[in-house]
Amino acid sequence: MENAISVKNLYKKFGKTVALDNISFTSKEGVNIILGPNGAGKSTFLRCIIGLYKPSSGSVLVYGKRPYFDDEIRNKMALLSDNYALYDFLTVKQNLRFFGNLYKLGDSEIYKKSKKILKEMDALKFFDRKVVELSRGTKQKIAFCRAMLNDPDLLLLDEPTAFLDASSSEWIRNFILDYGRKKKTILFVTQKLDEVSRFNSRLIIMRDGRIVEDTTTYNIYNEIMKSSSILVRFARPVAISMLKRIGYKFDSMESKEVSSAKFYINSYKDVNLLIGKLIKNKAFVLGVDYIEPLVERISKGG
Amino acid sequence: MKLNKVYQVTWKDIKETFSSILIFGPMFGIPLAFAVILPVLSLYIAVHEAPSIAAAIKIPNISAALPAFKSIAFMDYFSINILGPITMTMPIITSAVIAADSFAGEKERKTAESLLSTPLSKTELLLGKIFASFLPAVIMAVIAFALYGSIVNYLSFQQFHLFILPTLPWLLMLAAVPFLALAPISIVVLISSHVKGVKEAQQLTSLLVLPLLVLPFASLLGLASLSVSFMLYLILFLAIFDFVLFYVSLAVFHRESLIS
Repeated sequence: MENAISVKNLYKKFGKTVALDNISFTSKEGVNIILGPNGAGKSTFLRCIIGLYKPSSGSVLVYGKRPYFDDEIRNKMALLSDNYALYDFLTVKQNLRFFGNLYKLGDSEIYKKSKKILKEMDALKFFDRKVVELSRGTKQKIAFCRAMLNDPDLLLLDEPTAFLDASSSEWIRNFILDYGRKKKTILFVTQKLDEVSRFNSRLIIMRDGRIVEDTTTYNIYNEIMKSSSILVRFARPVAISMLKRIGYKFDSMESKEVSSAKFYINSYKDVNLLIGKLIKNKAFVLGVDYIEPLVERISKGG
Repeated sequence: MKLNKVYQVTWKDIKETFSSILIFGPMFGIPLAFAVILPVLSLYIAVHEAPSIAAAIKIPNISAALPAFKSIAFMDYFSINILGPITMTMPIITSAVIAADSFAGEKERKTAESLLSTPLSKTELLLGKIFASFLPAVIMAVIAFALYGSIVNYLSFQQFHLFILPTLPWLLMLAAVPFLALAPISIVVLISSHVKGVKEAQQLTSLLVLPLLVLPFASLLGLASLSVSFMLYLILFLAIFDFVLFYVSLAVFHRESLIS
């Protein structure tokens, strides 16, 4: 099967600002994650792919067509942006009907598909409510449903789990993983490392409008993330003197005894070693929380 | 071009416009209230103040009328030369307000991103939005003309036992309504890439449509006579002006203008 996206030497400028700087990229079937800090050009990249922006130079081909000039190719695509982008004064039903009709879907097909998705996301009860009356998270669920109406072969997701509760985020991630197995191509943009860790897929890291790394989500913990920190919570307070003997640098809020401590580790392998040592020293470990490093550090390769 | 998609965009925009009485209430309520109040006011003035006003501002038609017919002459003049132009401004203002919200509103509320991600072509998008601004403005103006015409006739028949409307210049004013409504929409399309939000678009549009308001006020001040030939020339001028403006706005408009 041909690659869904083929981008060559793409530049996108807004006045004197270079948003995308010589990007070349070919998508793979399944989930392709794009990670980068704010202002890296991730959203601009998605907008060029779906044809919202005209490239300043270079080429963007989606299934062999130029999306900015070929409107019909967007029948195979969908974009879910970080903003829910729904019409506030229309009902959920009217919004979904409007977008579905633009994809030449009949009303009954639109309602059938959308009710199925909304039911699974526990949002069907809002079907006849105006969007303006809904919470931010519910709006995002409706927007996700809208993006799935045309069963896109190429799904572009820009921070799709922003504003969602944990269970809805998990539902969307599972849905995406499952969707990627159906010979679909998904571009998933995020700036959360925590999100990346939940996928086993290709990972593109962007910074300052460039692709600085083309790797996998698994490798990010092996090679790219050189140091990180974890928060260890104890069932009962432990002595600082004992923690000092463990041999890992740590921060704590108290001077004698603590019920939690932040440890600095060099790689994910240190988690097991550290916890093993703590247990050996008779500490009762209640839980380990991963503390997300700044995504800027990851994209610098530091 | 798929007409169904044009229809869908029009339907969506009209639905949004009429989704809240707070949005469409003042936009349609005030002109329609004017269409009722002004004819009643004109009759009161015609009956009670016509001779003194005619003497003060020297309107030829009224001054030349015999004393017994001054009230009728005043009612006739006021209904056509004052109320007509005032009603003609309504489609200009209404279409400008709706179009500004339709185009700049998509940008301000960030809904353009999902709209432009669909397989909607530039022409389908533009036509859909133009119809959504054009149709309510024209329908509202026709209703306003019909309302004020009926009230003028009812009052004049009750008072003078004759119907003042319709006259040919009055019918030509009605015929000019679609041309007056189209111009502000094209102006909004032209400026849509240069504005960030609805307020900015409305302010800029109101500045640009000011020349279109010259005619009604020129008539109000007695500087223009709304004769049949004048109205025919006006419609011809507006038709050419609209065509050129519409063509330029279509050529200049690009999809990105609704996003960045």
